[in-house]
Amino acid sequence: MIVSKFSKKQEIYDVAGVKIGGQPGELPTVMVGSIFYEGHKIVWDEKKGKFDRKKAETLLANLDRTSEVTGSPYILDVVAVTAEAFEKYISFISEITAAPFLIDSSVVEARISAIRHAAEVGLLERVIYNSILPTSKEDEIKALRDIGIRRSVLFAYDPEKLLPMDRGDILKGYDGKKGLIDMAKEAGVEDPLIDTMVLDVPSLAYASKAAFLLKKEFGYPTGCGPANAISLWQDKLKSTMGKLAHKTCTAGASLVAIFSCCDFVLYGPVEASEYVFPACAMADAIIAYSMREHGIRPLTKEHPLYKIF
Amino acid sequence: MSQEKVLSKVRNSLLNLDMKEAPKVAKEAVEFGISPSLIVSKGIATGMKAVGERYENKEYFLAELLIAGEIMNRVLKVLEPYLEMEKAEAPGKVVIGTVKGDLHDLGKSIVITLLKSSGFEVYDLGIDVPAEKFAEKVKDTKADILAVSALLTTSMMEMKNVIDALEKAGVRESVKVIIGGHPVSEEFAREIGADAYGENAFIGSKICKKWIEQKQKSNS
Repeated sequence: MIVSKFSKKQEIYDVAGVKIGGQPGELPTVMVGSIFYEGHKIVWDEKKGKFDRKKAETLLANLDRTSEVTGSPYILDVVAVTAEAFEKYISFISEITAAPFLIDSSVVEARISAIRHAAEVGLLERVIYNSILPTSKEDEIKALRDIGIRRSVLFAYDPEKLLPMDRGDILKGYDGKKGLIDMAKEAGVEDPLIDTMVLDVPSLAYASKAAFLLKKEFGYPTGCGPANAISLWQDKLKSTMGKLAHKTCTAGASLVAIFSCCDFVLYGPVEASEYVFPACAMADAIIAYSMREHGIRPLTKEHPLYKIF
Repeated sequence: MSQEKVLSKVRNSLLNLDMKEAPKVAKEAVEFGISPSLIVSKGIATGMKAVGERYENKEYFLAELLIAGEIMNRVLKVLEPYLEMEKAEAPGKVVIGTVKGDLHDLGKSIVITLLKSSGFEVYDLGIDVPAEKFAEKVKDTKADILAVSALLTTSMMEMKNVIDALEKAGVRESVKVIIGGHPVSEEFAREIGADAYGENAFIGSKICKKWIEQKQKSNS
């Protein structure tokens, strides 16, 4: 278990009531679950954002219940490929839940227009932009600044700096390349969150170690998304080891990240909360218990240590 | 030191993923008097082949492939001026890119690495590439192969538009088209009129090499 007290001050952000960051053991890991993602069965039309509202409501109700029982807080990862779809999803989310959410898209225009829309309807305080990348262009940064975004994920991935010990260069900049921290400042981001990028399941080793090292050096809330790697593996995993194995590995991958001091974990589809949260809450409780020897106690009585046993 | 020993240092720097050492030993090889094309074929290409074997044997994984690709790019940068002087003939030209509406380039980067290591002249159009741009580049460069990538089901249909654009530009017959990416399949390749589907980067690059060998045979 790589858990220790960091000498660097660890930032804590309050995103619409969900606290994230801090020393290990102070706060439970924030669980980030995806909804309306590519291939999500509740979505009928990805471009127009048509979806089964009833099923989506049920998913969020289950998520709330699981979070309540385990003490694991959550942020939604709202995924879309068009501005039109984002508007519909954001409208639904704002009606159904008060939870904060990530605006997540591989299409820059779509995520910028979603952030703009969130600002227009007064939801910017609940939003985290996902994400500023080393390859983000000037116009994206300028648009973020103009909209007034406060929080963004910084995606610490650069093929030249894949090794954990080199990832700090992506944040600080190197060889004339601007670092993500400066890019975030230019975008007006006050509260950056660092994502250390998981390529495939074995590379969770790099991502977890990088998360630990970056948290140690910079003090920002740091995390990663093992879920995508599991989904790349899932066909073989399910066919050779069965559906139950897929579930245990999904939960297990998040545990690897949590025991490496990640403050947040993109654990997969929101549906997975049922089998991922209990394991992660247990891990958070163990970490909180072990941090007592460093004089650290959970900052909230809602912590899994006080809830699940 | 023998020529073979210098070349083996180049190969080993790739195989051992030594990012700092690789450009140095490439320079050393040039200074030793080894022709840059030989450094590429017997140093880099052989080194990358060994990296590929380690990947297939599950000793290396995606991260190592990307690191090896990055090392190869650095070595090629060292060799570039000398290669230009030598004007070595590439076995074939490949235009490659990710379709419009898609920003993923991980698989594409690995394919580029493997193609370059085999001596191909690669024109990387990047990500989010409109169909017409693919066709224009194929026409301008007289490319032998067009490799098109997509990772999203929402963007994979754009591949059909790329094939249509090739036809419209009158270059479909002169270029082989290979597609790749998570949502596509052999069946989808047939449906849209592509010539092949690369299940992964290694298979994709092997298909490209096979096409060029066939072309060379039929021309000789």
